[in-house]
This record gives sequence, C-alpha cells and structure tokens, in this order.
Amino acid sequence: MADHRDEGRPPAPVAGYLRRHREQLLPVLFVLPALAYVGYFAFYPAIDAVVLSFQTPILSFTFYNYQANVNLGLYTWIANTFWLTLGALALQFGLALGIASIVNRNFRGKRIFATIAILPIGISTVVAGYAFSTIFPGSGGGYAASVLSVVGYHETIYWLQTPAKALLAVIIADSWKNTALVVIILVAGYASIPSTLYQAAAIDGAGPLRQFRYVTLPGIRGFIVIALLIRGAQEFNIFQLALEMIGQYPQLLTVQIYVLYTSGEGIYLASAVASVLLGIVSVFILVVLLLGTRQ
Amino acid sequence: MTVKLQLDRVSKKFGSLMVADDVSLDVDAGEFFVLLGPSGEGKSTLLRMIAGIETPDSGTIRIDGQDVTDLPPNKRNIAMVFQNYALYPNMNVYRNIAFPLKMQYFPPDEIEPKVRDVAKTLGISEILDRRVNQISGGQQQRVALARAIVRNPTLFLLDEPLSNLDARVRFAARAELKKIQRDLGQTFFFVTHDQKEAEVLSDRTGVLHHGVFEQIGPFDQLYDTPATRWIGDFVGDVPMNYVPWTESGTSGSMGFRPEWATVSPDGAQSATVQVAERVGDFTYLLCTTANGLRVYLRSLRSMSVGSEVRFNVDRHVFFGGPKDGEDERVSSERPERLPPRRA
Amino acid sequence: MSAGPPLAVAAGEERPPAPRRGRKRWTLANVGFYAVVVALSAALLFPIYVIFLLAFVPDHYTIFSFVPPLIPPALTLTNLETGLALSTAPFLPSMYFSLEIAFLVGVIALAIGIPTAYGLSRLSRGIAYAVTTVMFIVNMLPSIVIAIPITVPFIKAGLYGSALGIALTQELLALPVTVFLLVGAFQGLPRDLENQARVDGAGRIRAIFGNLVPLIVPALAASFLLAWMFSWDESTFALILYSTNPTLPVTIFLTVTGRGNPLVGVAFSFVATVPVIILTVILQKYLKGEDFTVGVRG
Repeated sequence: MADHRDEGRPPAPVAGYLRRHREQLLPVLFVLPALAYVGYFAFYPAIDAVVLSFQTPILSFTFYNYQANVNLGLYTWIANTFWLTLGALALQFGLALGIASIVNRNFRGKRIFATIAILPIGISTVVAGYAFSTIFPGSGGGYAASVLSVVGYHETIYWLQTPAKALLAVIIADSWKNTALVVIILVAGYASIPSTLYQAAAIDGAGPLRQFRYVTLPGIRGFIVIALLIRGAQEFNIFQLALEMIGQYPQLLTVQIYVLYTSGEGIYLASAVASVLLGIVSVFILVVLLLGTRQ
Repeated sequence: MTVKLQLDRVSKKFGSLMVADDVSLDVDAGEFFVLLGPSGEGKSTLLRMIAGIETPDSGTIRIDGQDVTDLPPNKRNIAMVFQNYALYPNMNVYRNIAFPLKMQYFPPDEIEPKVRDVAKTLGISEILDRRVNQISGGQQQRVALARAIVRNPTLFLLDEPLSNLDARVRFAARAELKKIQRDLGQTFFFVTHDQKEAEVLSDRTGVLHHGVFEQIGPFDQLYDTPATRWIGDFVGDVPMNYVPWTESGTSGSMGFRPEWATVSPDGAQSATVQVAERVGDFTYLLCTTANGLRVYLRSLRSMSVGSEVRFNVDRHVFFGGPKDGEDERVSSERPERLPPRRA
Repeated sequence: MSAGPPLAVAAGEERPPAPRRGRKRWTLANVGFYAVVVALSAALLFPIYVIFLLAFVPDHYTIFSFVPPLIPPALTLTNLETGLALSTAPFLPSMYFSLEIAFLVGVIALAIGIPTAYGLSRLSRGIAYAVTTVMFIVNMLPSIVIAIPITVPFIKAGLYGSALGIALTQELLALPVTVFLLVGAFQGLPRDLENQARVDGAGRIRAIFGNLVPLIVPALAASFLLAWMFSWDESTFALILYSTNPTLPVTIFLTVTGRGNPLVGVAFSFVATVPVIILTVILQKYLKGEDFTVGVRG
C-alpha cells in the first residue's frame, strides 16, 4: 500500500522524516544554542578537570595527583565536606519546614514575617561571610558572645578551636543565607495540598502532629526532593563563605581546590580534588533522584 | 462546481492512534462541510493539517488546485477559528481583528474601514475598544469570527467554535453562522462532535472514525441511510435498533430508528417495556424482545414498565453480514437514497 | 503549571487558611506562636543588624571590641565616606564592573533562555525532560571545578578578566533557573495563540516573538532580575577569572581578607545592597516555588 503513496516523490527517508517533523525543527534549533553553551562552558571544563587530574605537567598519564592529595589529607577534607553538608541540610530543612508552616497560616503580621524570611537572599554572600566572622571570631568573643552574655553566658568560645565548632559556624551562616530558597519551594509544596485533605484528616481524628506526618509530608515529598537536590549540591560546593570564615581550619574540598590552584603545585593537584568533588556531587544527584522518583 | 479543498490519500499517525488513514475528500467551493465525529478521533488534527499547523505523514493537500502540503500556515490564505477563540490577550478587540490585515501589510488607512465594516456586520462595533477579557463568551466568538472574515480568506476552518458557548447563546450563534456563510458564499470546513450542529449547518457532513470517513453526505442521508451500523449508532439521539434479518438470501440485521416503527396493539412484533421516559410529546420506551434484543421505541401514549408493547417496523435499512460486525449496509428499502460513496 | 496565583512567601495568604484552629483569640497557644515568630524574626534579622553595626558604628565598638555592645554607643559615617571616595578605595570602579557583568548575565539569560524555553515547551515530554535535567545538573556543578580548567581557553580567546568572560561563566548559574521559569511561562500560554497568529499570516518566528513573548513579560522581568542578582552576588568565578579589575564581591573579599579596612567594604556594600534587598522583595511576588521543580517533574 505504501508503494502507491507519494507518487512523483522519490523515496528519501531522511527528507521524508524531516518533512513529517517539520513543525519540530524550529523548537530543536531553538534548544541547540543552550546545549552548545552548557556543553562548552560546563561539561567540557568538567571533563577537562578529570583529564587534567590524570596528567603530569608533561602530559603523561599518572595517579600521582590523587596519591599526593591522599597524603595531604584528602579523606579528612571529604569527611569535613560531608559533615558540613549534612549539618547545613539538617538545619536548613528544619528551619524551612518551621518557617513554611508559619507562612502557611494566616495571622497578623504575616507579610512582614515573610519579607523578613526572604531578606537574607538579598544580602551579599561576601558581606554576610564577614559579618558572621565577626559573630563567630576564631579569637573568641564577637557578637555571639554579646548575645550569649545577654542571657547570662560569659565563657569565651574560640570558634576555630575545633573543626566541629568551625563547621558549626559555617553551617549557621550558610543556613541563614540560604534557608529562604527552601522556604519558597516548600511553600509551593504546601499550597499544592488541597485543604480538604486536612479537613478529612481532622474529621478522622488526626491532631496537628499527625496531620503533618500523614498529610503534609507526603504532599510535599516531591518538593522536598527538589529542594534537597538544589541545596545539597550547593552545600558540597560551598566555597566563598567557608574561605572567608574559616579558611583552611578545617579544610574543605572546595577550599583545598582553590588553595592548591593558587599555590605552586598548580592545576594538576587541584584538578584531582575537583574530580573527587565532581564524583561526590554526581553520586549525590543520582541517589536523590533515584530515591525521590521511587514511589 | 469547482473543488476548493482536496485531501488526496492523506495519512497521519500519532503514536498508535491512526487519525487519518489514506483519507481522500473533495470540498466544493461555497460548500459548508461539517466534519463530525466523537472526541479523540483526530478531527481537529485533520483540520490542523489543512491549516498547516500539523504535517501529514503522507498524502497531498490542495487548496484551489495548488499543492499546499509543504506550505506554512501563513502562506495558505486560510482563516481559522479555534475552539477557545485564541484571542490575543494583549490586544483590544480592534487590534485583534486588524491583526491579520497587519500581517498582510495593509496600510493603516485601509485596515480601519475593513475592521469597522466587519465589526458592524457582526454587531460588535460598540466593543472595539474593549479588552478581550472584558467581553462575554458570545462576543469573543464574534470577535474570533470577525478576525477570520476580515482578511477575506479563500477557506474558513472552524474547530468547534460553538462548544464554549452556553446553550442559549449557542442556538442563536449557530443560526447566525449559517447565515454568514451563505452571505459570504465562502467555503467553510467545520469540525464538531455535536450532530445537531452538523444537521443545522452542513451542506454535507463527513463522519470520521478510526481514521477513515465512514460516510460522507447530506446529514439527512447519514440519518436515514447510514452506511454502517457504527454510523447508525453514532448519528441520532438514540442508537439504531437492530434485529436479525434476512434479505434477498443474505442474512444480516435490520436497522430501524424509533420513529420508523409504529406502536400499535395489532403490531407484528412484541417486546417488554423496561424503561419509559417522557420527552416532549412522546414517550420513549427501552424494551427487550423475547430473544433478548434491546429496542428503542417511541409512542404517543404513555406505557407502564413491564407491560407488553406491540409494534410494526414501517421502514428499515439492511446491514449484511454477522450482526455484531460493523459491516456495510447492502440494501435498503429506499435504494434511491444510497449515498454516493467517496474513496 | 504556572496558571495559579504566585505562590511566593508573601503571596501565600491567597490560600484559604489551613483549617487547624478555630477563631483567633489571645490564647496561650497563640502567645506561644507569636513568641516563635518574633524569635525567628530576631534571629533572621540579627546578622543584618550586625552588618549595620559594622558599617556605621566606630570600630572600637565593633571589631576592636572583644564583646561588642549590641546597642551602639555612637554612630559614624567615616567608613561609608572612605568607601565612596574614589581615590582611597576601589569600590566604585568595581561596582561599575559588577553592574556591567550583571547586566550582561541578565541579557544573555534572556537571549538564550527565551528560545530554549520556547523550544522545550514545544518538544516532546521525553526530550524536554532530558534537556531540563541537563540544565539542572549544570546548576549543580561546582563552580570552582569549572572555573579552573576554563582559564586556559579563556586566556586564548581573550575572555580572561573581561566582563563578557565572567558573565559567560556566571551564566551557568542563571541560565538553568531562567529556562525553568520561562518554560513554565510558555506552557501557561494557550497553545493555539501561536497557531492563530500563524494562520493569521505571521511567520512562526514572528508569532513567537510578536505574539507569545509580550505575554510573558512578568516572567522575563523576574528572570532578568534573578540572573542579575545571581551575578551580583557571585564570587567564585569572579575570583578565579579576574585579572586586573575585580568585581565588587571580590574587591570586598580582598579587602576583608587583609588588603585594606574591611569596615569600609562592609559600609559600601551595605549601601549598595539596599537596592538588591528591594529587588528581592519585589521578586518574591513573581517567584513561584514550582518553577524550581520543572527540571525534575518534567
């Protein structure tokens, strides 16, 4: 039957395919610049970093860059980065769930509170980093001490004395700056839950806590996954705040990449650490996507 | 009569859904053609292929004899009214109507009289300055129609333009649409799932099912002499009745509509009333015959459920082949009204 | 998906109240609720207050005080005056450079984002999902990992240290979010508007840019501002890719890490931040949480 069709047109599979999908041609062309752009500016450098990590300055293959970093304490850097990410995510999601629950209610002054909650997004990270380094100074004292003395605590805390305290300071600073984004996403999640579900749960005898557990949490699950993806990746990548507040005490992967890059050892050692960070972020994205899409 | 629009062996598949399977059709100049079919059967897709918004997998579409298959929509000189009217929300009524003229690079001093003229014809002169979200559904439909008419196209395509109106407005709009088409003398290709619209508006109606035209012809013909049992069921307020029947040595089924049978105490057939519904002057009866067949009848007298009803079939069409198939009708009591089947 | 009302934080009150409690009275629970709200507000505002103190209080009451007073005993404009003086501090040139870059980032975000978002809104679900996932992944790549290898081609191409070069890298943060926002905007438009314009005689490009794009101006404005803000705050690419002229965040960073008086930088940026804060408050009306989720939910 097909033989009789399209008489007068020579059979040309490619031309025929293009003709049938003519309407799709422009959308495809429109997407190509963005793909070319991210290909050249994101994926090519990322792959280049991996390639560089296996190279010596005379371009021969080597594992030296990795071995050298292991000797310098690569595993500790990974652990520090991991703890920082875990702590920051926990604090941010705890805070964001609370703030989103508050914003989801109607009360006098709600608009003011919502504006206050989103303000930190507008504050420059570099300035916030400096402000937090005066709140949590390594030399003790600072504005944290000012607040603590108001409530009657007068011991001196040296914030860079132990890795845990230093990381905690960065976690607080980072959470202050970035919780608002999680709030925005979670508020959208709350809004997607029909209020009839709460009414039904209330009729079934569920109190506020069980409503949260059985209505709110399942309803905003997808939104939590998105927020977790965005923030989680950003926590692994945290650089400016950490560099400014704690420098190398303790060391994080990103800061070490910068320190190695700007030191004499240069780009090859830095690329090895960069590749490790890239690998961790990739695994993180995969795991969250797999867990999040599994129902 | 010259042929305005010609579909020549057009095929289109969406995934596994065959929306057009080797479809051919000629629409004459000045004809009001209605494409009728249930939802989800690809009527709109066929219309969109004529407009150039969708591409056929194979086949040729000609307008005024010119092959337009590979022409983009703006090169086809057609007008289209979409189901939701697709009025440009950032323009007022005047600019909506003027838009096609602007696209054809008419000078502004020629655009204005044309717009005012068509607005007057459609009775929307008063709302030319309004925003399109400030006017009623009926007015929106008129604006969409005005925008189609103003450019004086060679062919009008209309995709269920009445379905978004409420019943009262729809009734008036339907009659008006027919009048406009007559006055313009232009070719209208109108898609709908509403057979009442096909009945009132069409010169000819084509019914699309499984990607092929089951039947094309004047609406009365579809109703009186359906080409297939599927048409018999689809056209009409209630499905056709079928009883096993043998005619000229062929066994098949006899199809008849409720009004083709007369309920009377001395009728030759009998059935038991299951449901009785009063609609206007008539009582519609859903009955079962002794051998379990379902039959719709119509009676002027009200009947009670469970009672026996006797009736005669005055007129019928005959479908050959097994009774469950959708085989074509092979003869009818009035063979002179057999529709001219097209490819 | 963007048909609903804006659901940003401040706009949340357009929802009906969550039916958990009855009418509001000054019950114990209500007092507790407001106590939590006030405490959270104070905690969120405290760092901003600290920035204010650092900028406008004499330094012996701030960084040179072991436990600095929370109520300022005196105020000063010295830091700000020094920051604004062209001869003593590099802030104004840096700010112009940052403004130039942020403007470029916003423009490029729209120039690439509009066609991409249109294309994605018209392509099949599978392809659109794949591309948005790629954009999402780009958003998550560590800036520092990309910034280092890209220096060599940048030097070759003459982009190293230039406004365009830094803008093109910062665009990696802005473009994905722009695309998500604009895909939602395009999907919110009736599909037949474009078809209607084409049937009415417009070519496809003209239908897109003449008929569709004017309808998503709010989303375009939000994307531009967001891209602008990403760039204004970005310091990783800016730190590694600047040559002689650093951006404002980098200048402030260099100042606070020992090359100058940090308080001058803080004072300057505190003033420079005010417009950004106003932008943030404006933006929250347009930002919808769902827009961040397009990438994964497809």
